[in-house]
Amino acid sequence: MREPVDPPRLFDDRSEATRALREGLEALRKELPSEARTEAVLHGVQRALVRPASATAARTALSGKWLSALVLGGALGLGVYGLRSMAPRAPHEGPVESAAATPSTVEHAPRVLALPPRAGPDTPLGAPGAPSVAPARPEREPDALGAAPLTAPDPAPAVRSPAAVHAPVATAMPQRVPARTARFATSGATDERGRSSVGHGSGTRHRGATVSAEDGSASRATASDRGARDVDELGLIRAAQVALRSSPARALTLLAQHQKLAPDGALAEEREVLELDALGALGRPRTSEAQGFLARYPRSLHAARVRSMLNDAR
Amino acid sequence: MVAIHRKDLHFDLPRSEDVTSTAGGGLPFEEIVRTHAPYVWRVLRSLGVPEHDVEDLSQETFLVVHRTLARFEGRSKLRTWIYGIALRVASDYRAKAHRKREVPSELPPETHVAASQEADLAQKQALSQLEAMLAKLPEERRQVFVLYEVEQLTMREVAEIVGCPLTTAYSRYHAARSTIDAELQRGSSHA
Repeated sequence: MREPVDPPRLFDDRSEATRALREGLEALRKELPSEARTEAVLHGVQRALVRPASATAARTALSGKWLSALVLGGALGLGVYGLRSMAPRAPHEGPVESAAATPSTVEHAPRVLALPPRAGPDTPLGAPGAPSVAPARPEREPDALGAAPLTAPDPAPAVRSPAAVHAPVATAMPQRVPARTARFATSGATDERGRSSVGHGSGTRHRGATVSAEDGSASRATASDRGARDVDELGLIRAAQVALRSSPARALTLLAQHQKLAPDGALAEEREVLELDALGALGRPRTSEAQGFLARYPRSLHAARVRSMLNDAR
Repeated sequence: MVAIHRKDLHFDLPRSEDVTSTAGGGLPFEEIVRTHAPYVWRVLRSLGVPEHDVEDLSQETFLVVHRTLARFEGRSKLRTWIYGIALRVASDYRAKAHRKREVPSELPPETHVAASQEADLAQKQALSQLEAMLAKLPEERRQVFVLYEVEQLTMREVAEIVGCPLTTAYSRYHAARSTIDAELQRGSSHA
């Protein structure tokens, strides 16, 4: 059977009667999104695809930390109880906070006794006054709890020499990284790459904390968690997208701002891709950045484009 | 904004005797979005999704595409298949909007245009008039009309996307044209 022929389209009908209709159709055919809105659709899809996995991982990590906090809290409680019960029987031992305490006595000093007055929600982690163990308080903010170094007890004694302040914290940091999601672990990798050219704040200090470069990552983690709440990540990323077309340098500044405020935010991946674009637009080398990106996000939706950047560079 | 619950959406994969393309064909999903987002955007607008919701629904469409891409057998054009998903997302949106008594505005917001922009003004008026006419079409006829006249697909592709026999697509198109012609005549007699 012969297939019927499609009816003539309105665009082919040049009669005056349908002129208004044709104009309307032409206008409707121009209803296309701008490049920025197309990118916004893409980023929205990417966020929706990436977020569930990150959220699940974060939840898992968080529940693990809560469990650790409970266990450690219980252990410390028992320690306190034991010390109190021992105190009347050994008054000759003197106060624990003795300036003459040897390293071994410092190591075994009841740290928990000194913690409550020094630890606060705003205390940067890794700072001398930071809590070495997250107390098992359900009302405590999950972010602050999650950022507390649970896996390695801070051997910070009641009295510590200035030299002793930072070293134990630095050794504790690597043990925290696996507890975070792969996504949230990117700040460390970023620092290893030393991309200070775009304003990555290695060793950035937050809230006036007197922390060393080693424990800067801890304070960044806290800032990241705060940033995720307070920073309009999407606004910054979109502004960077727009700026990229006219001023890649401005885009880098905005991206550096995002990096500072939300280093491990939900849009960290998008930020890194935009940085690559901006570096390319400025004619700056980006091979190591692109390789780093592919190592961190091998299954990224941007991976193909980043690989093509690498191929172009070769 | 009307939330779209993806679990509520049902998608029948289009079938075609026209084997023109393989499935996503190894094309990165990012490229699929970039390539097809403008078409999805336009078809959503043509189907009456207000501008402030088009971005969300475009994302929704591509999330469904992402989820079901593995089921795409490449027996039709990828674009045709994506159109089908966009149509159903728009349809779901409109149904929910009605249930929430938030009937999407069919008309663009009134704008003040300078005299020097008369061409733009005429275009906006033509668009406004067309959108008002499209709003009077039943959804099934509107889908066929939009795909055929705005997206310039063949009637066979249109039938495939909306999931009806070819003859039904023709009759829906002719019915849509009749309604629109009647509206045009009514407009010209009032003028």
